[in-house]
Amino acid sequence: MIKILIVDDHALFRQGLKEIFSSRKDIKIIGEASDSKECLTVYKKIRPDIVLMDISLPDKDGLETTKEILKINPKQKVIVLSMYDDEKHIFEAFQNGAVGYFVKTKTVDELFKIIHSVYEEGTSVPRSLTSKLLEGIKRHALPQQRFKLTEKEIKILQLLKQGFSNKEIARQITTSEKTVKNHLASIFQKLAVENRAQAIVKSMEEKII
Amino acid sequence: MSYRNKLLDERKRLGKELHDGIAQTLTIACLKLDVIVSQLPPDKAKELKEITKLLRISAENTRKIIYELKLPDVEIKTLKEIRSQKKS
Repeated sequence: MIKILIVDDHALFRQGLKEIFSSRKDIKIIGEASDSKECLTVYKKIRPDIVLMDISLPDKDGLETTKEILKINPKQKVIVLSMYDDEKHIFEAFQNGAVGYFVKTKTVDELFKIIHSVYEEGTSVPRSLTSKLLEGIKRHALPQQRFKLTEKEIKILQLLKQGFSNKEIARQITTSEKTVKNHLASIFQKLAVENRAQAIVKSMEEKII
Repeated sequence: MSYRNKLLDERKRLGKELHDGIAQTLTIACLKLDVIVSQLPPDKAKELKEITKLLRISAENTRKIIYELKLPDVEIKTLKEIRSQKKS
């Protein structure tokens, strides 16, 4: 019997899942929560085999909540439930410690398969999501490698973000103002941007700094 | 509030309404129908399976609209806001 805690702020969805699982002998819902706070309160009282975690919760998102749960029990298996099937969301779910990902528009058979794979094998990436997860790793893991930025260029971007002028950056990294300008030209080219503001925005957006 | 910000807010609100309303209803309806279909004899399940398929297409389309309505942070926030968010 696989014991499950459902965390979803949509009462209709929680109720629906409870009804679906009630007809099965292999899965049992032992708790439910509608937000992150309630989830952590309930979680401390019960020990589910699997947590089904909605990615978007009203107080703190499902991925942050997953991290909180893993702080309490690093071995807890969490499957993220989501309406999104893009590589960014899938990658972030696994990056934050989830071991499974279910897109809500998929079939109930797929949900059962994920639950069983996670319970029996520890993790589950449905074939339909594998390529997106790999794409996510390529796009979002170590973005500085993706853009081929050097350590010095990343340091310069961090200083740019803090509002330093070229002269001040040169002093900080003990080099000449001309060298800083050369580094900036290289950064702009690698990030495909035209100015400092765009470089800051893009490097923050891409989680380089 | 500027016209642009009003538009962005409205876009965000619409996305949330779709996500929290119709998308949840359609997806759970499909999952429940999957269970019912699996319990019926194949000849009786055929039509219900077709209906489930149609509902799932609607759920998928709704999901795509929600995704398209989602704005990247950089479009809805000023540089100052992004900076302070990054610091916090």
